[in-house]
Amino acid sequence: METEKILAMAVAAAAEENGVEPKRIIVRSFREIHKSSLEKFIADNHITYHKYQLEDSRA
Amino acid sequence: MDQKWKDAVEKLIQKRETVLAAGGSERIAKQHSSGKLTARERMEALFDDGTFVEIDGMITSRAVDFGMDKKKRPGDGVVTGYGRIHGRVAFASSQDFTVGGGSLGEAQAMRICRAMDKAMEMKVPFISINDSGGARIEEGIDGLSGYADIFYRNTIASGVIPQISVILGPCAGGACYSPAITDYIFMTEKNSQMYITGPAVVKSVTGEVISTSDLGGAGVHSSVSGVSHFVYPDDLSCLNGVRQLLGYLPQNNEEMPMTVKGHAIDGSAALSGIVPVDSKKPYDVRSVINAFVDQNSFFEVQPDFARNLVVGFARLDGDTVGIVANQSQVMAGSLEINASDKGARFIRFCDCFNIPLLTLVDVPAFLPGSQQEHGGIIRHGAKLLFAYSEATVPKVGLIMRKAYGGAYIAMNSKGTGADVVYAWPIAEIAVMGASGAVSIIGKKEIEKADNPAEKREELLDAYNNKFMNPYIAAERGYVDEVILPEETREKIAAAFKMLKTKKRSLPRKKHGNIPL
Repeated sequence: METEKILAMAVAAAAEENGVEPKRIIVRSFREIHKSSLEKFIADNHITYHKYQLEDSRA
Repeated sequence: MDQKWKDAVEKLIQKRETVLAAGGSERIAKQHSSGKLTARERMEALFDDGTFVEIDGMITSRAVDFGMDKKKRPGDGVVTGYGRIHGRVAFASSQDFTVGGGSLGEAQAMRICRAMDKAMEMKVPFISINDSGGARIEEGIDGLSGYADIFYRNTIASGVIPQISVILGPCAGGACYSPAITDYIFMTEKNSQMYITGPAVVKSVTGEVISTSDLGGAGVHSSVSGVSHFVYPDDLSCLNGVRQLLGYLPQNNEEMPMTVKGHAIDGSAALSGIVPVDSKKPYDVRSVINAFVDQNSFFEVQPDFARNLVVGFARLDGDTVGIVANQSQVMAGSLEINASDKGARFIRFCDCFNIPLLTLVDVPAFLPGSQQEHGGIIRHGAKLLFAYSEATVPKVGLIMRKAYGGAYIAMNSKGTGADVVYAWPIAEIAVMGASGAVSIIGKKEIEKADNPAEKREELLDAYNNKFMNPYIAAERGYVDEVILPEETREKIAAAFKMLKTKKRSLPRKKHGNIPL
């Protein structure tokens, strides 16, 4: 996906979450986070993987 | 930013890249092609997403002999650090096979020990991921000494924090003894090996020709030697298994395990349909367990070793319990050497970490025979008695069917400190089964009788009516209550709730002397 489209989606999400118009949001900087080596390995090898996750109900 | 700052930042970035590059792209590709993840990928899979923090990444070997000064890599063949598992902190080490075959030298050992020390200071679990060719020969005695430092820490941490070993590659020679001291060993089907001496040495010393997997693969260690507790197809599923296990355990010996609300569906009503009244007919005791614990919560430990005794963790109303159960499908559920060892170790683990114990009894005897006697069943069976007697955690028992003789005593009997013992109405609590008992106590009467077969039947009926029920034990107080199968979950859960505040302490001593 193009960087501009991704940014537009991020701005729209931030606007919705904060209840403001998208045009009022100014992007000062952004950083592209690359897939980790593990994420690449999982994607390249078409592995179905879900991390086992629990929550302590006392917390 | 002035130039000096820029240079310093650039230098750090380069150093970080060198650390992350590990053994280089070629070796990483080789690791992947053999179905293995890299050391850092394993850390990412082990910990909650985005929580892993590496420590001591720049530690490097001081060795110079045999050209080691030219082979130095930051990290020295291991990745160590901390992160969160189910939101709780844990420390781990992960040997990096792409750097010097993950071989252990002075610096690697120091890195692992520092992570272990931190885990002990923080009182949190330590996970050791093993993938190493063994001691780094070029470093001589320093590598060996490093192993000793790790074994010592494993031993001191035992019973204080949960320690888990994950074997995802070779683990040979003295290196095997660190996993062996820890609480649980995980292996993968194809890539894990553990042995004290490899096939080549075995051949040269004894002449025996044996493959690596037949000597020390996951199949052998999970079903024959009992060294391994869990086997998974690959690295990812294996590390998910570690996460699953940790979900049942507390962070240390002073805390309680987490509470995980699940589906508390009570299937106790189905129990009378699972367990046949005829005590000679087998059934799968895991179906009994799954009928009344929280849905899908039973996590079996060592499922392929000593299958006549099932042990594992489950949850009741969200709280962890350790379960020990006779499996009538294998050796009629009798106790023998391996089952005694398996049960005793599991009970002691639960007692270390405040995990209440539930015992499901359907046991005919200790397995008879010269093989058992000469193998030391007296010594091994005693471990089970010792472990139950010594355990101070809440101990609840349910006698489902047979409970005969010494094996009855060994399976969490009232006399060995059980807090609450229930029995189903079909339970048979006696010194031995009717047939054996009548052969001994009715021997003379049967011999004298005009019709010995008829007399035998008559005596069998009398014995069955008199002893093969739970009521005499209940009258004497060896059973607290005879319960209906459909009351099983409700009664057991209530007993554990009542026992939550139990405090029983042992006389002050250095440690007991369990018959090892």
